Amino acid sequence: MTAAGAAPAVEWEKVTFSYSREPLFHRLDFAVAAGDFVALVGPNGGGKSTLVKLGVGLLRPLEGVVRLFGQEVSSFRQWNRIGYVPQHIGAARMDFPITVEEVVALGRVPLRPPGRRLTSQDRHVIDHTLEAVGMSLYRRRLLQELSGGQRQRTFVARALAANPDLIILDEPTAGIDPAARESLYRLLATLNQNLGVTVLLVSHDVEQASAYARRLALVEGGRVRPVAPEDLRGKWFWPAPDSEEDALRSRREE
Amino acid sequence: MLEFWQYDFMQRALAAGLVVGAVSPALGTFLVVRRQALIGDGLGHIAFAGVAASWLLGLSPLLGALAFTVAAALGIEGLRRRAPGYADTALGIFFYGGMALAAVLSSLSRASNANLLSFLFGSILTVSPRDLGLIALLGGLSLGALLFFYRELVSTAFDEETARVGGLPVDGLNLLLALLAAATVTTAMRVVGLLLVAALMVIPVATALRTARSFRALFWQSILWGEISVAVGLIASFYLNLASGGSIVLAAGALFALALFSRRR
Repeated sequence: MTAAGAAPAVEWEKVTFSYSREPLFHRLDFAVAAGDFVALVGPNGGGKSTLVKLGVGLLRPLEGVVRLFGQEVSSFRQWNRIGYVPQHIGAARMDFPITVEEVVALGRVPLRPPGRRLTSQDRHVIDHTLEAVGMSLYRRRLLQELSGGQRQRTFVARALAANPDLIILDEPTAGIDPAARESLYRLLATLNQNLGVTVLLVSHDVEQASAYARRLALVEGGRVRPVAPEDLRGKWFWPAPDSEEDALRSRREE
Repeated sequence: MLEFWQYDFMQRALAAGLVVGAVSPALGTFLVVRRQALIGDGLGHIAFAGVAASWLLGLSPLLGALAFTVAAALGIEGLRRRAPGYADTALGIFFYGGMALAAVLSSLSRASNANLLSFLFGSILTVSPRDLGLIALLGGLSLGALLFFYRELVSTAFDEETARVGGLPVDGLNLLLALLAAATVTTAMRVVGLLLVAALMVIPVATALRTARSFRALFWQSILWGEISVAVGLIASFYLNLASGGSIVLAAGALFALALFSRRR
């Protein structure tokens, strides 16, 4: 649905980055086209989260350029176009005294100047978003009263509340049960297909990710390359047998 | 019945108390959820050094305390940013440094023990009209800032990374909160004393954590429990001839105990 030749949603050009003397990435090139749904897979410590954090400007490359919709991250200002769900956020903020509705409303904060109440349009978008992620019934619940999957849906809703063109999720399915994982992937695939939202996510469940994402990319040894699911068979980060079985079963039952 | 209301000093005490009873828990809501509940305590010790310096130089203790706490808030926030994992240690350095400075400065200034004690434990009954003016000004500004930046502050307290990605000026908001903590400590020190200055930033919020069903409710109920504590504590101290600061904090503690032992929600 994007015009041909449009700038990629996010693009890493000759990016070098390191936490220590040993560079994690050296002149790395990678891009996610607007409208795509890309799952980043790979071993722990391979740099999946780092790649994503470089993408949203939480980390700065030592060399090279990161661009969002064609604009350098350091001068990018349209942050409402980017939805972000950080790693472990659901578990980390579990006991924060805040309701589902309040969390989603935070997604609207960057759109308006300080000191303003929510407008009726804000409320409309919040209602709509809660409905889209299937959390309307739980809107007045505190985070601590939700399951892991419901918390993740709430965080996805916050990321969606600004009507972003790109949503970036760092391991959104970690620690939630296979059925909840499945429904989160289905939600992301729907957003991607129906609304044209570009999705970039970091994932450990290759089997499920490959069922819903348009593309898989393997982040390993300082490189990012497209892979097919079958290339990944036998890799050690392939999901544990029981969760793989669960995932297959829940998909067969559809 | 309303005998206490006939005295000017009591009216000023109640007015100052109600300002503090609102602004301390309002600010405390953000500090408690950020796990920075004790920052008020650290700033309270710094304020003591400011008060001692004021005695030495013959300045207003409130202004001296404000200058010292603002400087310390900037320092604590700066250290926290450099080593986020050691925020409590950064606080400790200022906490002890402030107390040591206060001890040295007050020995230099040869302040009387009565004077020292009145600042350590509060002396709300001696609030002058000028003090009340400054307390109302600082309290009003702080509460106004908290309400104006409410959503931005919730966003930052809840998830700093995402707030940053959303384009919010997170460093500026953290600094604002630290400065408001400094102003609030200065506002509260005459009412409950420097040793208890953080009590109203923590205890009413803990009570509201038991009673509130949303963040907004937490914010407003913290203020409600703070105001009730001030009113009950102050009136009890008048009739029973008790220390006012201690009475207010004990009232806040009693409310917390009630909330703890009553059926949850």
